[in-house]
Amino acid sequence: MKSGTVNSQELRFYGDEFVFNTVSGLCFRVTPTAAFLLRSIIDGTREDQLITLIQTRYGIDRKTAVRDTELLLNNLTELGLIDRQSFS
Amino acid sequence: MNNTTSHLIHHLKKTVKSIAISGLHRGENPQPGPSVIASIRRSFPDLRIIGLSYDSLESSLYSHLGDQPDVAYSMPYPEVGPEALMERIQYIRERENLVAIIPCLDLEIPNFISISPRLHEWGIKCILPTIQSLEVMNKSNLYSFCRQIDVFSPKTKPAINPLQLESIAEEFGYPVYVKGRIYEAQLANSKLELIESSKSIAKLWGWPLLVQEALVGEEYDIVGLGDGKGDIIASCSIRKFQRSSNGKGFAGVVIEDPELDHLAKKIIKQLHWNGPFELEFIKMSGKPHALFEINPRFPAWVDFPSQIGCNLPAHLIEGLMSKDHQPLQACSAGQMFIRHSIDLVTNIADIAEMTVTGEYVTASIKASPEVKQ
Repeated sequence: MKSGTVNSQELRFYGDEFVFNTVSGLCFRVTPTAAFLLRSIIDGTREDQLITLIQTRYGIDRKTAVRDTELLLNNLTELGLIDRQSFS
Repeated sequence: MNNTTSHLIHHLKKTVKSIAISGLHRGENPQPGPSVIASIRRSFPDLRIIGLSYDSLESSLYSHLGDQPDVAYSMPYPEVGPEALMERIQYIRERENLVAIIPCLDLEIPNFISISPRLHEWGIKCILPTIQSLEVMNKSNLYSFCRQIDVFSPKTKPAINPLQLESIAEEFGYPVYVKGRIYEAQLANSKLELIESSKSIAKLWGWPLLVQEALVGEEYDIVGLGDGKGDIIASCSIRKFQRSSNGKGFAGVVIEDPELDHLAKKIIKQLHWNGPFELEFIKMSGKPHALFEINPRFPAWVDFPSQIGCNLPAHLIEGLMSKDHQPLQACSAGQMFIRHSIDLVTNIADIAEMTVTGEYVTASIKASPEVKQ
């Protein structure tokens, strides 16, 4: 799996709960977990590593971490904040 | 007004270079004039500004916020034609040292193009697009122009009667926009709404009407200045952050989108656009930006980029008055404006003065120290 997202350079964070896309002009109120995930993706973290990161950060089992990460990534893709294709 | 005041106002008229600006109403459907005036005053606080007014209730005549003209003259409606415009400008120039005009309403532009040789003779400068580029940007021709230059645009067709209107709407599929040739657009979700909308628009603007496929998405606007040779001198792109019920942007955020910049360059290059312009796009998810309107003037939000270092009206004035250009800064993504409505206080006597005489010295000038002395 490759790391990064197509849109990563376009995103600007205001704290842990507000993201602005400088190209589309759209802004989003996100959860701190989503912001953590986005920042990790921008830093080049791979999808399988994200799961481990989430598992460690929130002290949850692997199965839950896989499910939550997957759901969150789907949501972020739907919002146009990341491009899942760049992961696979 | 006492004799001294009158004398001083007369003296000001004779000696001070002045520029004329139209489109002076802010409100539900704000016109650009007050915003252009505010921008110019940021760089040229002492420049005398003449308002060309079509209605004695145009709000900026009664403003004290720096977006008002110093004096206003009532104007014949654009529908009356270029002769009447020329006569009125002649009347104004006999009283004012008029050196430049910035028309701010779409409807006026063809008349100003018609009288531009006379303005030139009189030494009055006015940057205008060519009649050819104005034809291309016309709502009826925009779709075919966009197809020629490979820019996505909503399908648009003219209809000369209700039957043809219905047939085009069926072809496009509802919802569709019904548009007047020059102004006004209404969304019609059904045949019934189509008929209602067409009646109200045709009553104001006559036939033909235009039917346009309705694209639903985010709206983006670009304000800029064309150099007349195909290049953009400077521009500012925004996403309309908040839209009023009739689609006017009441908040906007600066974006930095290379794709949109590329499209703007392509369009302006093709048109060899001269002077101010506004390009309006809509972006549907997964589709390219669609150009749905070109306006041959500054938009009502032009004072926003002026306040963040990209003062396009002042740049235009610098050129018109052969002054050195101040550098224009690029607008940065994230800077934004929110429109704020306020109540201006005036007196019915002011409305009466403008209505009866067709001329009005605005309150700020009457109260200025030179006039008070």
